[in-house]
Amino acid sequence: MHRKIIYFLVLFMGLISQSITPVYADEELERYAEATIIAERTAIHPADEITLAIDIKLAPHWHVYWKNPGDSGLPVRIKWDIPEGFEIGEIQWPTPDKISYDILVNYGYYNQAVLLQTLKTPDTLPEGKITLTATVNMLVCNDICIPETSTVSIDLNNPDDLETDNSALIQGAYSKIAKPINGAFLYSENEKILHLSLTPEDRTLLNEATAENLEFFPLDWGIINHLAMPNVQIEDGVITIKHERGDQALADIKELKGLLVIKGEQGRNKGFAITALPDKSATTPTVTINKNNGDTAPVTKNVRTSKTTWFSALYLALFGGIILNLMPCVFPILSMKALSLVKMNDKENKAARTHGLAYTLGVVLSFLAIGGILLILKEAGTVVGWGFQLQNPMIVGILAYLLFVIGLNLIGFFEFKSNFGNVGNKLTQGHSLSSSFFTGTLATIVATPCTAPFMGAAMGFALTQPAFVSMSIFAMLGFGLALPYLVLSYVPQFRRILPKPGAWMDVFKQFLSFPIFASSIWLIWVLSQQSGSYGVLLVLLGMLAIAFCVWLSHLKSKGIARRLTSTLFVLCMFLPIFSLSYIKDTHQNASSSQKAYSFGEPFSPEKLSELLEGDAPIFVEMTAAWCITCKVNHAIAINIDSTKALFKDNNVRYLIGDWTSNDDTITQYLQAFGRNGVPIYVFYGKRDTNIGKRPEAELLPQVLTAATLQKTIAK
Amino acid sequence: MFKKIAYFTLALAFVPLALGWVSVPVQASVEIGEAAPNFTATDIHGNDFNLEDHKGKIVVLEWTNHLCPFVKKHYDTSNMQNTQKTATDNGVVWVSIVSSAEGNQGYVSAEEAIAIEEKAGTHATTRILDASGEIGKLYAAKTTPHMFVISTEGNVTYAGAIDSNPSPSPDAVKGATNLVLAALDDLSAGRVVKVSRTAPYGCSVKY
Repeated sequence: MHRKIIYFLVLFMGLISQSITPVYADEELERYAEATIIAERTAIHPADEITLAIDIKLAPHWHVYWKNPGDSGLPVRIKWDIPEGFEIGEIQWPTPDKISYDILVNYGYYNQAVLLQTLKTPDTLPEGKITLTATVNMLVCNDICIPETSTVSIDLNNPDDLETDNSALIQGAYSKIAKPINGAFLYSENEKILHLSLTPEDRTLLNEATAENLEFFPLDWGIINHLAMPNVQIEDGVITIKHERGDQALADIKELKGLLVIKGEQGRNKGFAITALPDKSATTPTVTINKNNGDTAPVTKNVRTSKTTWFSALYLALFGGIILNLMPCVFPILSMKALSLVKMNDKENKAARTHGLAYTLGVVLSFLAIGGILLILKEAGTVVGWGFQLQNPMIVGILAYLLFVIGLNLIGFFEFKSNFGNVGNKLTQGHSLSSSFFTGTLATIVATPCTAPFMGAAMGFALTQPAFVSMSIFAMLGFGLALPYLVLSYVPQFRRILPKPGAWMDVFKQFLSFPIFASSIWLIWVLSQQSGSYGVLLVLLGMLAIAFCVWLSHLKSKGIARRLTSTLFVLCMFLPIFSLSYIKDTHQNASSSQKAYSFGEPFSPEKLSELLEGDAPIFVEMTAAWCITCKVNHAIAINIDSTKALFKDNNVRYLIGDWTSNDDTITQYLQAFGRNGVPIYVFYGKRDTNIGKRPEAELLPQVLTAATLQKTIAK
Repeated sequence: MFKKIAYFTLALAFVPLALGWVSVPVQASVEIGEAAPNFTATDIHGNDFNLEDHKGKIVVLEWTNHLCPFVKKHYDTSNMQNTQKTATDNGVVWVSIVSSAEGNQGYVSAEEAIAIEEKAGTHATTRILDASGEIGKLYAAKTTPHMFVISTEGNVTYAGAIDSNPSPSPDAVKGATNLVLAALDDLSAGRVVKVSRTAPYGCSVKY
């Protein structure tokens, strides 16, 4: 058996090596670059100086490299074989193109590259023809790379040849060579940013260069991060370039050589060669943040993924789930469920356990359903985050209705006895297993918006992972929510802590209706943010209709009156749904919600990057009307006199992003920090004037206190 | 009993609070002297590889692409295999990583990779296929070969070329300084790695 496998493997390997080798061989045979040699003129004199050109022609899409090839590749190399006494100068390179491929940036040439070198002849020339031979080593690349060599030679002063004059051609080639320019060129380094302060004397450069079309191509490796974009400013003849540094230490370098390049189409870049000297006086440059620093999403994500492990995310989800039990909207529903346990005696232990399991199943499945929808939406390309359900005013309206009905029931306005109300009965005190299951569903529905502390990181992690990991985290969150009841139902000892059943239960039940009504009011307030006063009116009318309905259903009527009430009943059942369908999301274009904030400025990515260019510290708050944690944090930690004073004293710029309705720019900002829900608090420390750079952005805890802010900002 | 469990669970739940887990600063990429970013992957033999598990050992990461002329130069002259053998004989964990995306040069299946390793007579500890380029980009691997040496403490101590002569010519191996071996020598002698950053040379990684 084993032997068979080995035979198979050998055969298989044979096939593979066969299928691979010919492909490579073919490519090696075919040439993609061809070099020729051209002399300015073929007749030379003693102590003469002429220009030699190595003319490289390339197949379409293939390229060779500049002196600094960039992140990969090799520069063209020329080895000369010349008679004694002759001297060959350094290669003069045409201005290259910037060639980007994924995370790699190269400098090189497409189609054609003409490299120039000067030849100095000795004082006495040998008799007869003089042969010069050049071996041109090229790394020729398209999507793959092939080393190619051309050996080319030329005869000078050959009595058998006609004299040729190529000076026009050579002049043309010179026009593509980067032109050395004079001026005051200084460089310095601050942290990881290279600063170039350039005062060129060349008018052409100054006339044509703009902040958008100018770039710096260093002649050496490791000076700049080629992938980063430069920050260019031109003012009063002074060009300031800030560029993220590369991997080579600048300490050993005496001068920095490179090209100032005015970008053109392929092969039409215009280069100006400069040599910059260290700027000894450089102390406090003003701006260092790269323009695209605000968009660090991919990097951040990678780091985050390696920090939050699956295990810690599961554990955080469990903890977050347990915390959810204390939310004002969840607590009453759970209490009612717990009351049903009070009524059970020890003999019913088994029943209690099955109920506990049914409830847990209800919660976990509901979480999985919501999580599943979220994943599907994400897969379909929608930008969504946790809590997205509440971004739709219709769903907020339905939840407000639901809580209103539960509240009416708890306070005793009606008992679910008629045939339409079975669900409600099951919701609160029923004994059937499905009732327990649906209690779980209800608890989940009302709990999800209360993105509890500690859940943010877990959720952010969940949504960046493969589906099964995400789903396991959602399930764990549900399990956490279900855990307290499950423990109660499984361990009779715990149930003994609960008081004995009695008349108090009715009072308690009525009392519980108030947090439920409060939750309903909160949802209507959320709706007012999303749909304005008109939306509120519609939902309140719907509630009126519901109350009327309930009242009608209790009327004892006969004959025509009965038929009338039935008709009315159908009508008023329809009304709340009808009114909901008229609710519109007006939040997107309404600025009313912004006015609700006592201070701070509305967040936008543009605003943030503008502020990042400045020196002042920045505090970013991402919030939503439906997010209780956000509201509490805002009220007790931010919108208080001491914090306002703190912001003022430290000159903190305060940006608020409102995610009440879906806003893609905010969702993307959250994702940059590995999060998928609000709240999130980010502090960008003020620029350190000594190094000209801001410290790393700091993510503050989701449970925010004034003390934390004080510590973070005043340090 | 159950009470104990309940208390324990509750206490455990507060651990992240105490550790201030929630406040994590935003970070950037690979730096000499700083922690090597962790990654997990399945190697070509189906075994799990987790970089963190190898703390206490020196780890060498080698970006490779068997069709790249520069990689061929070092394998055809046995320079790479000899370097691998010297390293692994001294307890170094050597990981060859292929970040070629599907459809690009160097992309291979696990079976093909095994065949390539056998043919070349590699002495690497393991080989990982990173077709998504995730690990490559985590380390900003730019060329094949591109070498990283990670110390026993898990810090990046060398990043760059395999040797000091950037040429595709096999003759160039002779006389060139093997920079990976130099870094390993420094580390095993307890010295700071003298040459810790060089320009990697070779084909671009085919992301």
